[in-house]
Amino acid sequence: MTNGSANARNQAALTVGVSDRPPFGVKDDIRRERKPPDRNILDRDRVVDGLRQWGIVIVFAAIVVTFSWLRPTTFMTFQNVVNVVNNSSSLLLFAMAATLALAIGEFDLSFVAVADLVAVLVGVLVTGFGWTSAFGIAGALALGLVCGAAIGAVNGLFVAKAFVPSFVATLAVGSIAAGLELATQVWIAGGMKQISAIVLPAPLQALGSATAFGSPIKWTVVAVFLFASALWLLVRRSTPGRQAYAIGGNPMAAYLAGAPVAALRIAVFALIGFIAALAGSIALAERGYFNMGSPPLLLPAYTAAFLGAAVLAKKKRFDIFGSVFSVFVLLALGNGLSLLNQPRWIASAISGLVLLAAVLLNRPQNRKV
Amino acid sequence: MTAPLVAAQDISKSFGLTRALDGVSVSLAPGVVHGLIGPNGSGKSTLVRMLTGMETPDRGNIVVDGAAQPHWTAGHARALGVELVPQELALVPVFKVWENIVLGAKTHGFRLSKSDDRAKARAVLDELGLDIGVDEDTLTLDPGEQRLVMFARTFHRKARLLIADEPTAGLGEKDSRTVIDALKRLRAKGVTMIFVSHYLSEVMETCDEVTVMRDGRIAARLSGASLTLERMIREMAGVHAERNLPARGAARREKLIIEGRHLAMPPLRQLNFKLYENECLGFAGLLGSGREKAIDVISGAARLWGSVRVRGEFVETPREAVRAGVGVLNGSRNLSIVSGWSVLKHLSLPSLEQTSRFGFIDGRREREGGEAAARRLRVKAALEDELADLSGGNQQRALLARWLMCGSDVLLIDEPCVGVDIAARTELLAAIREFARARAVILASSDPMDLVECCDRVLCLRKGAVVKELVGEEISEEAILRATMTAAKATEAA
Repeated sequence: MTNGSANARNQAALTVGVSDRPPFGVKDDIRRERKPPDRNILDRDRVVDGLRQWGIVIVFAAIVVTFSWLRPTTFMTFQNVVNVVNNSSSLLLFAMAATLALAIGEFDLSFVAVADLVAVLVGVLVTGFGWTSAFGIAGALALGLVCGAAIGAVNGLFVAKAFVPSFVATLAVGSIAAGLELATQVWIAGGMKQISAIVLPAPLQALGSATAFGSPIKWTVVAVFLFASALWLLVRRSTPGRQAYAIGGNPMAAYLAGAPVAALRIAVFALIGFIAALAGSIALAERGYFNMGSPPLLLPAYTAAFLGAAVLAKKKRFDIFGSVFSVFVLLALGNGLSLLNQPRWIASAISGLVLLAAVLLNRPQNRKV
Repeated sequence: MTAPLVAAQDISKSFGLTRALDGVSVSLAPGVVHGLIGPNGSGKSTLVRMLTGMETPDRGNIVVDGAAQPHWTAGHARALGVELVPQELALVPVFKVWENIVLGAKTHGFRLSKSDDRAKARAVLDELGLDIGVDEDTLTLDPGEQRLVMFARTFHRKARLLIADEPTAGLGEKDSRTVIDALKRLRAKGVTMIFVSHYLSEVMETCDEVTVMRDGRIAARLSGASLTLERMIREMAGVHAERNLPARGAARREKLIIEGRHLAMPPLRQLNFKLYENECLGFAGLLGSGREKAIDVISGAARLWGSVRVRGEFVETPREAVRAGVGVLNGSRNLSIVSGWSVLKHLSLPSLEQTSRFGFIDGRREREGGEAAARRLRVKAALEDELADLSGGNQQRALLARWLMCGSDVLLIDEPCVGVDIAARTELLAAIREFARARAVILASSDPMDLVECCDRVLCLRKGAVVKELVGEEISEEAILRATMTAAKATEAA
């Protein structure tokens, strides 16, 4: 320790003594000297850099290779891949919602509850109120999407106008949504029949199971991918998208540069609500019946968003593309482990370890506090 | 003279190309209150950081009790009783007074004894003659009393040399009085102190001897008969004859651009001003004078009271300001820099809405506009470089260029030259001057030379209000220092 500081001082004295820099105050910018390229492929910096840039791809490849080797007859089969893809729509949409929240520097804990609430709402409209025609179903879906966006906007209002920390505001709103959903289910079950026995109208079921272009891939998944592309374009190429990232990076900087900070925060939360409603509606259509308790997707959604930001993009930016890729890493992991008949907790624990490794690789340097 | 308690011998320190300290020697005899004054960036705080072991000198020695300290660290400094009371409030607001006083002291073993600690805190407060209850909530104390709790904490740790870094900055008259009275009591008790301050009348009142620093060197050591207000101002201002100052713009005052009325945001109590076309209007003042809030108040980023009209239109928020053609350049660049963003993204952020088509960014137009703006202000970096990695001068020029790109015709600038080296500073001020000649600029700075080199008119603030307006040839470093640093009474006497 003391030795080190003495060394540092000697070095400092040396640089003062034999400086080949221009005299004091002559040149404005001293660009940091770049290290000459290192021939050694296994140089530590290069390995770490490579892992940072390609880490998630390496993990994905490792997962594919490992499970193909352990389960050669089932894992990399066409049918299994189609299964994984066809079951991806919910997590994909939730991961996008999480990414949007993180991009503006906030959290949203409510979107899974909002999705469930919208699913129940749409289900009640088409069964309990008899909106069974194609128009009725379209109307119910539209109403669900509007509701989701409205709940999201409420989140946004709390965050942007009342300055409630988003963690707290969305926790509260999410709890209320979960409560409303349960109340509706109880009401249906009391007034009508066993809730899981209610059959949804055929057109809605058809919507959820139709496949695209003669392939076994569901239309809903294709729609989610189209939506993801549109969202990616919006986030990366549009003015509000750029401004939203500025808010996430430094809200004060965005504010002083004239970006409509409050309006954008509300809009992003409304968009998250819309995505949640989309996820709920699609899940309802794909399942074809009312669900009792959906799988816990909140944490995996954030895992995917952080994983995508931590390793795929060099800039460490929350990005739709990175999150979508990471969703498939998590799904492949879960699918492979279930083919090995491993319990669910292992997949969860491993995805946590991968996330930790990714974040540690990208930890900020030179931090003291 | 008795042997010095702590001495700095021939200390030099550079940060990059900036020579922060250049052969500085200071020695502190026991029982003496030593004032340390100088303009911003003169090396006061670097010297303080050396003495408290937070920086290691490139050359020179710290000597304590006659023994040189080769490995001088913050831990050693504290062990030998050199204690800093920082400028920022370093108290835990939810703690009781006694908890804050014993915070950070060495405890004996793991067990904490509440009654013991309370008694010790009480004893320290009594010894210093401070009228604060140990069980009071820290949050409910006056700001002045909160400073005193910070003093008490250092004495609980057995301070032998107390370094008070601008203890009255940002405080009102009454709270400053509390602190100054306490310092005088400490002086009467024979405590050795370094008092760093911008308020020269306070320095006059409390200090036995004064070191004036300028540009990393010691400009003067004053004590006894040579210790006068006049002399301090003169030594701080130094000789700047070699800098050729630009001709001041003729005060035409034809077209009114911005009018601010009754603006307030603590500590700024009242500000009225008018900005005319082709003019550079300056705001001078120390930290706590309200000068640091002036730009925020005008742009609407933080405003408690008052109205601003830009060409007759009311402006309430930065967004409205930007749309009315007013750009803001902030001194603390961490308020303007988005981490991880390139130069180009920073350049185009305010003008995105003007140049985008159907809400989508036109990449080519963005790049062309960015290139043109960066070239005009000579930003020495590629547009893809991360702005946070550039030098201070380059960052500042890039953040200035964004408003050219945006087509703003008024600039609000706060502390343009903080963390900018001398060569870059000259260029930056020239760019600001050029902009002011063509359009209009409001410039707030704690460095009088920034204002002397740029402004046609300077409003001097002290304790939250404008105390003097300097026009044209009246503007000089001495005049600004005199108006902002000395109390009204002292100014009359001088």
